[in-house]
Amino acid sequence: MNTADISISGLAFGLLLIAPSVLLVWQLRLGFNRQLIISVLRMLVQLGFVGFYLKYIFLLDHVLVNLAYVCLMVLFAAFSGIRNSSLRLKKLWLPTFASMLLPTLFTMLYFNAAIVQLDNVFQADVLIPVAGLMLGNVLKTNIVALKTFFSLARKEEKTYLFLLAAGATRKEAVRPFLKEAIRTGMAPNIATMATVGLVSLPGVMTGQILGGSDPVLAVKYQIMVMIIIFFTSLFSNVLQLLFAVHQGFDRHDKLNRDLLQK
Amino acid sequence: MIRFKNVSLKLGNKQLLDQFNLNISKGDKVVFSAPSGSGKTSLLKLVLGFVEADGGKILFNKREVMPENMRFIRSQIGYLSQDIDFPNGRVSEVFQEIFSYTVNKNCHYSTVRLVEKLHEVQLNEEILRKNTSDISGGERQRLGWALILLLDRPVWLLDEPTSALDDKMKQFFIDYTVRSHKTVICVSHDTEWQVPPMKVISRFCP
Repeated sequence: MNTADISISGLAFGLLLIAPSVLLVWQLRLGFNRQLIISVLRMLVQLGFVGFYLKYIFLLDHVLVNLAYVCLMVLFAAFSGIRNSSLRLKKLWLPTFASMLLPTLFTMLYFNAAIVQLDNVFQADVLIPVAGLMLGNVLKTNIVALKTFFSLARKEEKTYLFLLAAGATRKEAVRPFLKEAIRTGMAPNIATMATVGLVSLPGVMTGQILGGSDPVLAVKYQIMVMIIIFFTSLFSNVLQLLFAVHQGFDRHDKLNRDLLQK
Repeated sequence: MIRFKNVSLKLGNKQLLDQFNLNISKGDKVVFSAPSGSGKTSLLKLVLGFVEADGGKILFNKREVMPENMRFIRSQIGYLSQDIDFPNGRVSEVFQEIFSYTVNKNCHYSTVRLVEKLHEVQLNEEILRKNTSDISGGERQRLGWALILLLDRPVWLLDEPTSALDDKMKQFFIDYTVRSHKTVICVSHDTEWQVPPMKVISRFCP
């Protein structure tokens, strides 16, 4: 079973669908044609590159290169997360990086060694796509959790102080905010697991089936992927928030407000 | 016990305290009745380390109010903030949480003792199942009192602690406070607090 190739003319036909879209957007005065075209071009260039260098990375398949590539992905994820978070998280970029990297690395190797049981746990064509899947999710979860945490800490400062006065350490006093932030961040993950397969076929499965895999194998991968995504997100989330608690307050236990304003 | 030494405090562009001095000995009971906006609440917050003075110093049991000493100092204080800012959640769980803090482990907290205190402050134990955001101001204030009674710390800092209570309850807490051995700083507009042995301080602004 092989995936049907897409020829150059096929690609051209696919891209042709952009034309009526542009026309419709223009007709309805939706005003996002410029962004649409820039986005399509960016996608073409970025994915073009990815296809090109992944091909070589997979061919080369060297442990150090593979790990370096994963680190680079985490770095990009951390930066884009910080930029999109509307918090002034410059000071938090190193902890963000670490809290994304460590759980991702662990789960990735566990996935390869214990779940898929590869001979080479650093095998590029498993390592890199799986890391990408996890990172996308970790990124979303962490940003939602961080935002929730800091907005609660700001809004409910009086509660925080009341608990400090009741004898709480800083960590004890922020526990209600931590719980809420983790719950909010993780809620979509839990909901996705509960509804997967009902509404749409998830990406990994779709990809594998299109790639010619047996649906049962595709399902096995999908289940494992959902579990490792959940696991990584939860641990990354907790790590990220612990760093935030550590760095987000000054020595008077007060919220470090200059982290928040942008 | 608590000593303000030449304390100055400015909030915004208002000079609330200027070289303020006050010495409160163990067992003393003080009530601040200065008009609103004169910095009464800030005085309590200074002792708790929630607000920093611009000058002078504050001593608590001969220890200066500064970050290194805050854990100890706060562990000696029962504080009722104006709105009794309980976190969101079931009353029973909120109490459980507060008494799980390391410094409160020696309080011998139990639900039985909590229910006892609830009855003392004339609350029904049904309140344990309610959410802290669903209770009335008066209930909230009485719950706050139940908390500091259970915490049983030597110093009480009370910010308008009877503002939402009826006369009978108000009198109950005032009598209780007056008869106790606690060192008390109370901020209140209720004139009922101005009875001996409470020392009334009605102005401290420059």
